[in-house]
Amino acid sequence: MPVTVHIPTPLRKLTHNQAEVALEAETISQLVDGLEGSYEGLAEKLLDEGGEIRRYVNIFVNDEDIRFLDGKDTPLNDGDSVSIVPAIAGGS
Amino acid sequence: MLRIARRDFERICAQALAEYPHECCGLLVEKGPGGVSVAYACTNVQQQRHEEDPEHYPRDASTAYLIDAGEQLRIAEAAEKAGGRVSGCYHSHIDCAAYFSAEDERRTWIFNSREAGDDPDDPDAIYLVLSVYGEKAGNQRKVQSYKCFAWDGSRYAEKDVEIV
Repeated sequence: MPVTVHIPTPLRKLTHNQAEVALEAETISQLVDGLEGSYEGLAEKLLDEGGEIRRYVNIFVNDEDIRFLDGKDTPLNDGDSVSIVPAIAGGS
Repeated sequence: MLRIARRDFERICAQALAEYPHECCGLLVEKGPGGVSVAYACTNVQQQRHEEDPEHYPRDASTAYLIDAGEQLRIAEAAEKAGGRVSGCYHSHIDCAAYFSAEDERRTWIFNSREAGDDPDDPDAIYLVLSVYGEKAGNQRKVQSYKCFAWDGSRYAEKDVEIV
């Protein structure tokens, strides 16, 4: 059983308006590669120039922030739910 | 236009006063189109990020906010399950006016590209900004004013706030 990825609205133009996509992946890194393979342009939305997850992009595995897991090396299991959440931020 | 219940607006003001001299923040959830928005207080994690990584987060929480993404996700999921949606957010400005700052604008393009002429990520989002003055600037702590902003297709424009 693959992993389900919840796609935020502004990225759905890259996933043919799909709010959820299913992919086989063993880590978040593999997931990003898989997303790019299926939906060109997604990786550059998620990764910075150094190949790390962008600072204002949050990725959750089963409601756990991968920042507090193993980052891009966070392992994935069949049936996991992955959410991509753009940060809400600002200042004066 | 933002429509918000008085009790929710008063809760936002109380939160802004309590969290001074840090900016407070939270989400606005609309149960149905054009309906009354409900406020959900969130944790401003900017101070923690700034202390952990000042190079990449040079601002502390007195001049910036960053909503706890886990809280954001849980609120958004609950809203969607109930047939609503996160319609926007609120935050306070410390010892300065209620305006939509360059930093506020910049952070509304996370995935989309302003340089490429894209709309913000959520062009329908509404942003409530409160101005809180307090003892840091020699004043008695109070919410001085508030304003609401939304994307009008070409820029962020001030919108009406209706407290019901």
